[in-house]
Amino acid sequence: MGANGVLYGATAYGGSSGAGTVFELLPPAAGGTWSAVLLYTFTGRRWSCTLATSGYRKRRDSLRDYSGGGSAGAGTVFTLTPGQDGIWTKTALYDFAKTGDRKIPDSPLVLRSNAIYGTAATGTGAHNAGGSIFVLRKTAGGAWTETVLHDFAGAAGPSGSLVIEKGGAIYGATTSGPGPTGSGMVYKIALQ
Amino acid sequence: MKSARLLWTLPLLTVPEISQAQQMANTVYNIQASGSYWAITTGPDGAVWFPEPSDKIGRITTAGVITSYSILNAGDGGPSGIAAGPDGALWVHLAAQ
Repeated sequence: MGANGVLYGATAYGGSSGAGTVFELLPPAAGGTWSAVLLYTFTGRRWSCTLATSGYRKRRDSLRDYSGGGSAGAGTVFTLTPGQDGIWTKTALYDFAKTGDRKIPDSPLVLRSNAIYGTAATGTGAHNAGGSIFVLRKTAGGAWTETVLHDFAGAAGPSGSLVIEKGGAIYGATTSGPGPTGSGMVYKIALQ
Repeated sequence: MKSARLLWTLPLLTVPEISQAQQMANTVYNIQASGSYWAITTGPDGAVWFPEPSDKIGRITTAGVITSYSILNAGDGGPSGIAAGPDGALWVHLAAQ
């Protein structure tokens, strides 16, 4: 949700190339109806987007987002920024690699202290199917790098957005887990 | 698809124990595990709120105190999403039953 009750969303399909779109929904005047405005149309790969709302509330001129896609097809984090002509431009911040990185980012991003937190559908090695939590930080040279905060065991399936506490702890949810019941969990991570 | 506005006059029901789930470079605590959890958010009170599998809404404070609230009626649908609204309320997404 942006300023003045404007809602932002994304579609995995549709648009002129069928690769997905980003849109805004403008709230109605009293008694009216909501109106949709197309902000950006993806091309090439099909993009499954989840919008990062926390940063957008503070910075109205930039819309951060991520999806599958990117140069390696393993997911990417990018910004969408409107120009004076109203045309939105996509700028890639970080493309996940097919090897070495945790891949397929699939939760809304959380922006804190110039870092970007999110979850990915994959972990690594024995935890490959469990998903992971990552943070992207900007280096002095301007490039963004990925740090893995946690790899989940089993098929944890991290779901939804993360919550970053003021003290730095991270809260999140999973839909399933590695135990005998396969139960998901609400978790807290105390960063070292 | 329905949504429900969560009010703030809710009773304290349970206080489960926090247990450690697994440890890597960072310490992970399993706060609650009794089904699938789909979402989590910060409430206007500074606590963390989440839909529970059993038609309840959970709340955990920064001190680790967990409370479950029964807010739904039969047939309302299961809570699957939650978000803090600009009106200071929490809004809950209810999946169809």
